[in-house]
Amino acid sequence: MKINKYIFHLIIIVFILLALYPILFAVSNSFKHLADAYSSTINLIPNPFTLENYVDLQDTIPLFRITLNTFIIASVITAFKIVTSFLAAFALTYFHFKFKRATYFLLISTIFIPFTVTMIPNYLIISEFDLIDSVWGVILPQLADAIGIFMLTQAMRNIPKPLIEAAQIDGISTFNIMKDHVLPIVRPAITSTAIWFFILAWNDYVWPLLMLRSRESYTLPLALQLFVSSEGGTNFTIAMALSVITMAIPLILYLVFQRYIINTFSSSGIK
Amino acid sequence: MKNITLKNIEKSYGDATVIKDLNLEIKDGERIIFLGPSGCGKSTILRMIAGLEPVTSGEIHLGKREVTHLPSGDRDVAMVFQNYALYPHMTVENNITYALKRNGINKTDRQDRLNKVLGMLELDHYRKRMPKDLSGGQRQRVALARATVKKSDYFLLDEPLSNLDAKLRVTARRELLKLHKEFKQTFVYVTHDQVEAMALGDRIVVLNKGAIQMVDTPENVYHHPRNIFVAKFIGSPPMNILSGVIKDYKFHYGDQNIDISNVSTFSDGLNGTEVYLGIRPENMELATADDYDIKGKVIFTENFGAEVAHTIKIAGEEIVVMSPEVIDRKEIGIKFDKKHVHIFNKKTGLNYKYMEQ
Repeated sequence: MKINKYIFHLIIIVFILLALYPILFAVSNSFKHLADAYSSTINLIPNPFTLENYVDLQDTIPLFRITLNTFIIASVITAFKIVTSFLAAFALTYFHFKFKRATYFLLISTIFIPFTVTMIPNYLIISEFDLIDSVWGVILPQLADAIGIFMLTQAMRNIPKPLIEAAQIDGISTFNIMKDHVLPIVRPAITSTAIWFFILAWNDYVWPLLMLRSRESYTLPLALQLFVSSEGGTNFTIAMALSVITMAIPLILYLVFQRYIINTFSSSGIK
Repeated sequence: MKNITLKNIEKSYGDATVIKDLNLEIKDGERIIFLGPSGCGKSTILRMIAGLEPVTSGEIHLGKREVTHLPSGDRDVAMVFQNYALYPHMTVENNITYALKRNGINKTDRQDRLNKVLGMLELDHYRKRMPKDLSGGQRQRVALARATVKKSDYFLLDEPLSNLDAKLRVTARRELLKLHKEFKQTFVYVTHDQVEAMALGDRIVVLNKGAIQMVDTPENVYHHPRNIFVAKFIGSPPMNILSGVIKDYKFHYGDQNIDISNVSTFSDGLNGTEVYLGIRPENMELATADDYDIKGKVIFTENFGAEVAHTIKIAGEEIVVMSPEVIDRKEIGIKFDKKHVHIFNKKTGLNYKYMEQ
C-alpha cells in the first residue's frame, strides 16, 4: 500500500516536471546572457542574473504597443462574445418562439465549421471595410461565438424554473430577471467561458497574421515569430523574455479572476 | 372581494386533456385545498390561477377582475413553491424585500414589513444568511415570509410542506394558520397529503384525472364521500369497499348477509341491485359475543399505538377493522356501525346519498 502511494506520487511529480519544465526553461533563460544560455542551457538558475534581454526587447520592437494591441484584441473579443452569448442564451432559454430548437442547433452547428472555411470570406469582407492592418480587423469577425451560447445556455437551463417563476409572479420585468437573477447565478459559467475566450484570442496566431502588417499593429504571438524566424536572428534569450511576458499577463488575470469563480460557485447552492 | 372564480377551465397539452371543464367558486378569505394523487392536475390548476400556465379555454376571475390572459406579474398573487425557489444569491433579507424594492415600495415601508414578518416567523437571527446556510424548515419559512410581505389577497401554495420532515410539518402547518389568521388572504393550497388537507382546509377539492370528485368541508369529505374514489382516497387505512347485491333489505356478500334496512341512504328501490358497500375501519367493531353482522378470519394485525388495525379476510377479500386491543382469534365476528355505512352505485361509483340531488 505504502509503496504504491510513493510510486503514484513519483509518477505525478515526473508529469508535473515534464509540464513545468518548458515554462521554467523560458523563465530561466530569459534572465541569462545569450552566451551563458548556450553554455549552460539545462541549468535552470541564471548565473549571472540579467535583465538585459528585457531591455533589448524594448529596443527591438514597440513592446508596449504590441502588448496593448494584444490586450485590446483579447478583451474586446471576450467582452463582445460574452455579451452576445449571454443575450442569445437568455433568449434561447426563456423566450418561446417558433423554430427555437432549430435556431439553437443551427447556431451550435457553426462550432463545427473550420476556421479555414471562413478565413478567406472574412478576409475579403475586412478588406472591403478597409480594416486590414488594424486591430479592429482582427476583432470584427469574432464578436460572437456559438461555444459561448452553448456554455451559457447549459448554465441557464440548470437554474430551477420556479426561481424564475417566483420573480415573474412578483411582477419583476424580464430585463430585471435577467439582470438580478440569471446574471449572478450564471456568473461562474460566464467567468470561466470568458477566461477561455480571452486566452484563445490572446494566443491567436493565424488570423492576426493575415490581418496585421506593420509592427505597430502586431500582437505578442506575431512578435514572438520575429525572434524565432531568420528575420530576427538567433537571439533566443530575447524570444524567451517575450514568451515570459506573453505567458505572464493571462496568468495574472487568471489569478485575479479565479477568486470570483470559486466565490460564485460556492454561493449558488440551490437544492 | 377576494374570491376566485374558475369558469369552464380546460387545459390540454396537444391531444392530452389534463383538466376538463372545471368550475369552482373559491370564497373570500377561504382556505381551499386541492387534494389528489400525483398527476391529477392539482398543480396545473394552481399554476393557471398564478398565470404560470396558460388556460386552453375558460375564464379565471380574481375578485371582480378577469385575469385569464393577464401575465402573472399583473395578477397580484403570492406564491410559495414546493422547493421554496429562494434566490440563492441573495440574503434572507434581500430575498424577502427584493420584489418590494423592484415594485417601488419605499424603504421605511419595506423595513416595517420585513421586521414584522421576520418576527412572526422567528427568522430574526437569519437576516444576513444565504439560503444555502439555512435548514429546510428555515428556508420554508423564508419562502413564506417572501410571499407574505407582498400583502397580496391571494396566497397560492404548491405543496409547500412536502420537503419537510413529519415533525417540522406540524409546526409549519401552525405557522400557516397563524399567517392566515393575521392576513386573511384567500388560500389556495395544493397537496397530496390528506392529513394536511384535513388540518388546513376550510374546504377540500378532491381531484382525480383532472376532474373534481368532491368539494366540501373536511368533515363531509371524510364522513360523506361523494363517490368511491373519495371514499378510498381519504382516510388511512382507507375505507373498506365490499361488492355485493341487495336482496330483502340485506346486503349479500359471499355467503353472508348484513341487514341494511336502517342505513339512511337505503331505499326500497335498491332491492335487487348490485352495489358497493363502504365502511371505514374505525366504524366497525370486533364482536366478542355472537352479536355480529359478518364473520371473517384475522390474517394479520398492525399496531398503530392508539389502535390496532386488523386485516380480516372475508369471502376472498380483505378488509381492515380498527380496534383498541389486539384480538388474534382466527375466526371473528364484525359489527358495523350502520350510521356510517355508505352505499355506492356500482356503475357510476356515486354514493346514493348524493344521487337524489
